[in-house]
Formats: sequence, structure tokens, C-alpha cells
Amino acid sequence: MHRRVFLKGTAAAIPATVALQMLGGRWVFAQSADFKNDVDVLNYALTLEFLESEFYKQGNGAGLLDGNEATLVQQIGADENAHVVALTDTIKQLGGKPVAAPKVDFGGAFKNRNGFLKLAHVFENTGVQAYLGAAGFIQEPAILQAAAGIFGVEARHAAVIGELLGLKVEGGVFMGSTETPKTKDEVLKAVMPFVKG
Amino acid sequence: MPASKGREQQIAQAIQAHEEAHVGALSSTIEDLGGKPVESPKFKYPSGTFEDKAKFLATASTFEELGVKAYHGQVTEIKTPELLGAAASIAGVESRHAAVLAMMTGGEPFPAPVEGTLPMEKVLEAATPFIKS
Repeated sequence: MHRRVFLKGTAAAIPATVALQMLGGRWVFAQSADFKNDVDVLNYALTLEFLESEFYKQGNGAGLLDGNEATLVQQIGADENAHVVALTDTIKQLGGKPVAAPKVDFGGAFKNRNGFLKLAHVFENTGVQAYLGAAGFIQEPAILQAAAGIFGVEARHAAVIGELLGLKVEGGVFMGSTETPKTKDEVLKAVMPFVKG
Repeated sequence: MPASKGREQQIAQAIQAHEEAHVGALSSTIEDLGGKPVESPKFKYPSGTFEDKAKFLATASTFEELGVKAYHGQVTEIKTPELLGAAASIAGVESRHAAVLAMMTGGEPFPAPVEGTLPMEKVLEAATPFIKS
């Protein structure tokens, strides 16, 4: 098994410019203290997936969308449910204990279509950034493969919701030629307003 | 879900700009690692690809879905976290392209809850019909 230890010291193994060039200098070195092990990373992902899953359950239940748009957003909700199940199963297989679903409150997000989709856009893009920011901590290749597979689907969701909202193509549907990672602290700060314990 | 012609153009132009950026980033990274970037192959596209919007977008969709599976098929082969992060940050954008093109062509923006993978030989096999030399 190849161990992927994401510490600043390992960067010396390749030219320092490499990743920075590819990412236009936006690569954020995750803090090594953020996660102890793969179960920690997976529980972090599970917390975000619980949030998204409940968000779509409430939003899709509010009857704000019609036609093809409603179908697409229901598919997104089903994907998030599948992610919750997959992460929970994986954590158990690794001998870990899945976190409980957080209590959430989405405020006035479900008053109308735009409110629902705009918050969906925030959550999906935050999800993309969270997975990318945590990827370097994952040590087991099979788990990295699964997390990457979920990350890609979150990017699909983000783009489709951006397009449903008719947001600008660059900076709304797409977020540049590369995705941008966020640290755990940044992600938790972004979702904290919706978590009630 | 039909988008206006202007919107479709903006999307296709943004995708083009991203792919150009990916070519530049990968080339310079390969050089930084002491490798030699491959030359661009010469391409051929199905007859009428650039005379018909539907054909153009359908071919684009094929390439984006193939690109997604190609990146995801190599995840466990990348050994440095920095390169993994860089490759993932490109792969995510390919996923966005694939989903939006599927929306524009009446395809399936979300084929599965997790991205699929293809090994290198299968990707090359799928790309072969488009490569002249």
C-alpha cells in the first residue's frame, strides 16, 4: 500500500514550481493537523453529504421546481443520498464510527426556486472545494478513488445548477480552468450558518 | 434543455479556453519533471462535425465523458499529492464540461453517483478513430 502523507516536507520531492504552475498558485497546502486518518476525512465528507442530502430532501419536497429542472435536481438529491450511504458503509468497513447527521436549518432558502438553487450552487461548489482540499490526506488508494469519483459528480452538480440559474459561464457554471481547493476550516466556516448542532 | 445560440457559443468558448490551459499546464509540468511532452497528434473528426451544431456538441460530449473516465482511471497511479491535486483540479473541470454538454444535447448530466473510470488502453482505443497520425 502506498502511503500518501500530505506534509509540507514531501513537496521537496518534485520541483516546487510544478503544482503551483498548474494551479496558478492557488493550491492550498492543507494543514496536516486537519485529519488523523482516512476515517477522519471520510467523516468530514459524510458531514457535508448529510447536509446536502437533507437540503435536497427539504428543497425537492417544497415543490418549487417543474419539468426537466425538477428531474435534474431530484437526481442530484439521489446522488447525495448515495454518497451518504457509500461513505457510511466505507467508514464502517474501515472499523470507524460514522458521524451522526448534523441538525440543520436552511432559513428562508425554500421560499422560491431561486433561493433553493442559489444555495444549492453554494453547497455544490463548497463540496467540490472540500473534496479537493482533503484529497491529499487520503492514504488508501481505493478510498482516494472513491472520493475522487464523488468529487467529480459534485462538480457536475455545481455546473448544472449554475446553468439552470443562467449564471455567467465563467465564474458561475465553470470556476476557471482548474478547481480550487478549500481547507477544512474554510469549508466548515462556510457551512456553519446552516448547522444547528 | 435547449440553450440559446449565444449561450452555447459562450459555453463552448469557455471549454476551449480551459482545454488550452490544461495543455499548457500539463506540458510545463511534464517539462518540470524532466520529461518530454508528447507532440500533438493529428486529428480527424466525423464527417460534418463542424457543419452541424448537434454533431459538434455530440462529439464534444463524447470527448468530455472520455476525459473524465481517463482522469479517474489514473487516480491511483499518481504518487505525489501535489500532482494528484493538480490532476484532480483538472478532472473536476472536465466533469463540469461533460455535465453541461449533456444538458445542451439532451444527454445524461449525471450518469452515476460516482464518476466512472477507464484504463489507459480503453481510453486510447476510444480515441483512436479521431487520430489521423
